[in-house]
Amino acid sequence: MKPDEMILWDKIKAFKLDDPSASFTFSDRLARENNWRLQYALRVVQEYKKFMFLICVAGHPLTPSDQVDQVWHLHLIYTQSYWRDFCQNTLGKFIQHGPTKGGSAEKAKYGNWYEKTKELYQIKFNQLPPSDIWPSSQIRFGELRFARINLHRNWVIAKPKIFKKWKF
Amino acid sequence: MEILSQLSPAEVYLLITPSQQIKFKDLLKYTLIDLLMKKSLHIEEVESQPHPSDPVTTTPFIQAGKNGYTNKHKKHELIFLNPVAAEDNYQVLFRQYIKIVYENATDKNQYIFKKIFAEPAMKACFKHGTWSRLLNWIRLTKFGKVQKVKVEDEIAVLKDELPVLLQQNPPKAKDILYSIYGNVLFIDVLDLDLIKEFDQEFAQIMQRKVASNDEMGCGGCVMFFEPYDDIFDSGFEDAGGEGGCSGCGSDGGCGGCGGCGGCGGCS
Repeated sequence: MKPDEMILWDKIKAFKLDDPSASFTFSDRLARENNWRLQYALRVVQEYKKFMFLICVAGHPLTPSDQVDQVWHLHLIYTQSYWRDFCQNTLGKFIQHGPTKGGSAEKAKYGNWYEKTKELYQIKFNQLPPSDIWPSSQIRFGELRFARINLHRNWVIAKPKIFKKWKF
Repeated sequence: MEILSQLSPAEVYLLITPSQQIKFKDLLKYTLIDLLMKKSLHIEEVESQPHPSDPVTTTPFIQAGKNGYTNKHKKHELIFLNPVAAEDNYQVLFRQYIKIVYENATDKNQYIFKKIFAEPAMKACFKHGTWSRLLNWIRLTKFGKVQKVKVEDEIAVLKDELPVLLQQNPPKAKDILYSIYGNVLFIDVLDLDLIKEFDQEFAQIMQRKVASNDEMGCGGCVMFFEPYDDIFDSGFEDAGGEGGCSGCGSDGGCGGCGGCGGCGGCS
């Protein structure tokens, strides 16, 4: 990392998404909405910070993993924290979030950006992105069937391994 | 202090406490205090002001201590160290940290049988027959009973000698304290003010334990060992009816971002 990048990364690292006075914090919500353990949720938040750093220094578009994207989505609804405290006061620029328009060309484009993101991650942080948060492109763009389920009314049961490739 | 310097406080607690009186919370509490005393973990009080109109508040965060993570740590200690080992100066809100520790420990029997008994010295002290494992019986072996007596003897000797040493020979008392660390909690006759004179931080950590036992406050830090589920259950209720978008001043409905194949961020 260059000296100015180090300064930026230190600022991003110091940024706290969790309001210490809140009894139900950002990370608590992230863990609950994604059915993650809290320790995993906190790790994904750290990876989100790295991703936002990469966006600031890359000079070209990047694509996060789905896990990191979930942090981004949630952060975007904490509007004051995202736009003012994080983008304006910490990053010094406004980072826009752009969902895909769909179609195979878009899929190829995002696949390519995702690979570029992981390459840049390795260069800037001098380590491989953790595979449980940054999976392969095949998994990243092959497992997109997520749904919001009312757990008061439904049970969620894991598919047996041999059925996992089937799309029903 | 041949045995006390070798065993962790959770191990000592397990040896000397009748099985029906062993509390999960105490096992975790002793381990955490020991790691704080050994400076493997560190509590940092951080001031924050989420919004200019909010008052400045001080909140405890936990991070790796200066002695950090070594390969000498026992399996039942690792669940305390892993959550903050990810990166340098990585801080976790204390309340969240406690929840993570509870999640990682799973439950009392898992913590005892899978983590504490993973240590050969402890394995030899407790029975491991099928019935013990199935019914979660915590029963001492013959060797364990001998070890229990030895530990109790060492504690009794320290209860007699350490208060005197603290007054008459502080350097020697300090050496003893630094050889037994968290096991000092079993010597319940010590004068905290005397300990403060040579190690303020050590005494503060002890004081937190005392305060938590008496259910007293300590600048808000001794939420420490409250069962985390109470904290989090109330958290869910406070969150606007389980997950609403409460408190958005100008939130006129979220557009949603369903079915993203991949989201690109533009700088």
